[in-house]
Amino acid sequence: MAMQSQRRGRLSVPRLLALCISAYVGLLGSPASAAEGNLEYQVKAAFLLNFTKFIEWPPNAFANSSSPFAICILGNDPFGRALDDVVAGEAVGDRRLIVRRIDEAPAPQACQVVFIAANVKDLAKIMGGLAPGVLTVGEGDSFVREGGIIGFVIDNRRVRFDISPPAAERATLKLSSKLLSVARSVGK
Amino acid sequence: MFNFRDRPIRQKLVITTMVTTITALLLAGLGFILADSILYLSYLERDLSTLAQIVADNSTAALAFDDPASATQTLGALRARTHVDAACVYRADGTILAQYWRAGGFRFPPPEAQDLVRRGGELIVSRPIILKGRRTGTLMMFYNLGELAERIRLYGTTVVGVLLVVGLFAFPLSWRLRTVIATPISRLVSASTSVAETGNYGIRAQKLSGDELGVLVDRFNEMLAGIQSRDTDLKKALAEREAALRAAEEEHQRFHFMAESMPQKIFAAGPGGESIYLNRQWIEFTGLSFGQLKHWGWEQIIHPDDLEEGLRVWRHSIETGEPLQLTSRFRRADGVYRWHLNRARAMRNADGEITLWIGSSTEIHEQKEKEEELRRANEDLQQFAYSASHDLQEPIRNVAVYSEIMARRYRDKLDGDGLLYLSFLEEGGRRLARLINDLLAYTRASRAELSETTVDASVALRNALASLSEAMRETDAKVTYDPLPEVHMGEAHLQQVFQNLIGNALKYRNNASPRIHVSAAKRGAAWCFSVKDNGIGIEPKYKEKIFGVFKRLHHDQRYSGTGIGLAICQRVVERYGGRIWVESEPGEGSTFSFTVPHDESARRAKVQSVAS
Repeated sequence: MAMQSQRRGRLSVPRLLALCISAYVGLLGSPASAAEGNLEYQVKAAFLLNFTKFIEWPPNAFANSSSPFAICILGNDPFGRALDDVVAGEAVGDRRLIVRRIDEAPAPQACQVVFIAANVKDLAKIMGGLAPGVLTVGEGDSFVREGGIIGFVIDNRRVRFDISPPAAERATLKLSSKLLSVARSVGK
Repeated sequence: MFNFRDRPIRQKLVITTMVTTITALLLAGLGFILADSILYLSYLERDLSTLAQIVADNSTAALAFDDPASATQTLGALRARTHVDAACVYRADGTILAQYWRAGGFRFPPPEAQDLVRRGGELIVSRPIILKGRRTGTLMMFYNLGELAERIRLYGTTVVGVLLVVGLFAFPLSWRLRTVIATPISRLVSASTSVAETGNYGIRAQKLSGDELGVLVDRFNEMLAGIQSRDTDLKKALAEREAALRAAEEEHQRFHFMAESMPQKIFAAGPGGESIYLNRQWIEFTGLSFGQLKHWGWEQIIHPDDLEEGLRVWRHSIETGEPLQLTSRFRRADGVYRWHLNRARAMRNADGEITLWIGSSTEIHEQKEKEEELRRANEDLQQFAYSASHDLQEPIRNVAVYSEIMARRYRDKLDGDGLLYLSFLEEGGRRLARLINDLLAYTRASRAELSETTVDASVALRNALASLSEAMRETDAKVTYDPLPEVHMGEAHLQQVFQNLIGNALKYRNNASPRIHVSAAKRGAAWCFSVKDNGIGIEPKYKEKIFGVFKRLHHDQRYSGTGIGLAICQRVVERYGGRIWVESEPGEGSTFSFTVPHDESARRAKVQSVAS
């Protein structure tokens, strides 16, 4: 099925979600191989896209009314082509969705979502320097405790996420209660 | 079987009321239940749609992040709705993300494309789960419609209960209605029944109300009054009719007795000629029964020679309605034929149509036989007179011729007496010759064939005058005549009559020259000719006598003649069915008149009556 989807050039969200099932199976097995890692990040890429549907960004998060909605990857990119595939052709509201790969903290209004890879150090500094209107997504149980808004976790061999509403509020983002209802834990 | 049509009205009223009430209630109840079911179903559909929408909305995140636990939790909220049997969230590819059921063992079908489906007591709601304009999955809810059945059962029970209560009230009500409507009707029925049974039209029905039934009672009573008065009239009329019938019966018996006791044979026939009544005399005479004689039974007792004529005359009478007169022979019981004179007349109704023929047959056998004898004797006498006069001509002529010769040749040889005797002989011979001639003329008139042609009477008259021209010149007579008709008569015969009558007028004249006028006038079915003169006239007592043979009233020499002229006239006229007579006053002249019937049938009838 995955092969079929790739041949079409792009993975739709439902298809990705379907992949999730096979992903669990993959995760269940021996240490994650490169391919298995890919599957995990394909799910995470889909989650990244879905976050945009349950969160509302303030207007001042964008440079102007025509500027695109950017998902930026800071640090080592674990997605490969997966995120680009998921995002291709998608939009948030009227805004085109693009993926940017950055090496340092982004300028204000340049990114609306910043995925901070596991290898990035000095998280507190980076997040403290971010302007409001940026959703920070990271990996691991500690990411939310360290001031991030959403942190991916592996729970019972499934990709899930923790979420911190106070951090979101600080970033002037409005979280949908539905998003909170599916989070593994909701920080205080 | 129960036949509603023949039930009494009071039962019909109760049954109709009850059936109407129960039907109305049942229909109302059914309608109510139906309307409620429809309303409830549509309410349910709307309600379930809303519920499904809420659950679907709440499942978007669970679908987006593939979180069965969250979805299951959302579905679990449906436990509050008792009749939701099961629910299920499908992913976009049709696999199940989360499911919920009230009782175990629920098998979920693949997601439905349709919004709302009712299947096997379940209302299935299917709703797409849409996130940001994209369909991410499907929600299906299975609602148990058992609730609806419960509702219907409850309503049904209520309707039946209401029916019972209503019936409890309606039955006494309709019972009461029964007395209001049925009682006046049954009163009317019992009144009409007692009228029918007793025939007493004095009975009246009691009026109980002022409605249509009251009007009906009034009309019924009026009708009874009408019948009562008509009944009285009818009884009176019947009594009168009975009396009239009795009188008619008595009359009939009188006439019947009269007909039966007549010496004649009496018969009655229908308009077609068939005999319908024959009196006792017929039965006794013929020895046959009425059954044998009725209708045309007389054909078997009439003499075969008389049958054709009898049928002809009878049919003629039936067609024309003219009275029947016929002589015929009927066979007596002993086989002897007896002459009868039959007469019949038609009885006509107010419209002039013949309804009955009444006739009598009188036995005239002896009379007929005498007539026949007389006729034969007469014929013999005539024959004798004819042959005698014919045969006498020769010797008489001899007497005349030889006495003349003798007078001429032997005049000188005879003395005075001889000459006188000779002159007597001559005179006697001449007179004898004239007598014989006249006698011959008379017998010829009796025997000559009747002519079937017509003659213009004025031609016959002119011929007669021509023959008399010498005598007319001598007497200075003037004869005038009116236009005369054509008549059925031989020319020579008519001329003979005129010649005799005018000759007489010339002969029996006064001192004045004779003035004679001939005229003709229509009289009934005949022409009547009159010859009027201014002669010496005839005394009344000789009026009949003068027509006899050799009857002479005057024997003096002034009036020569044999006295046979008028006898010849009478003979000729009567042979043609006419009649001759004279009207006269002595000294005032005479008028001789004779009739000639118009046509054949009248003449024939006349001839017959003369013959009989």
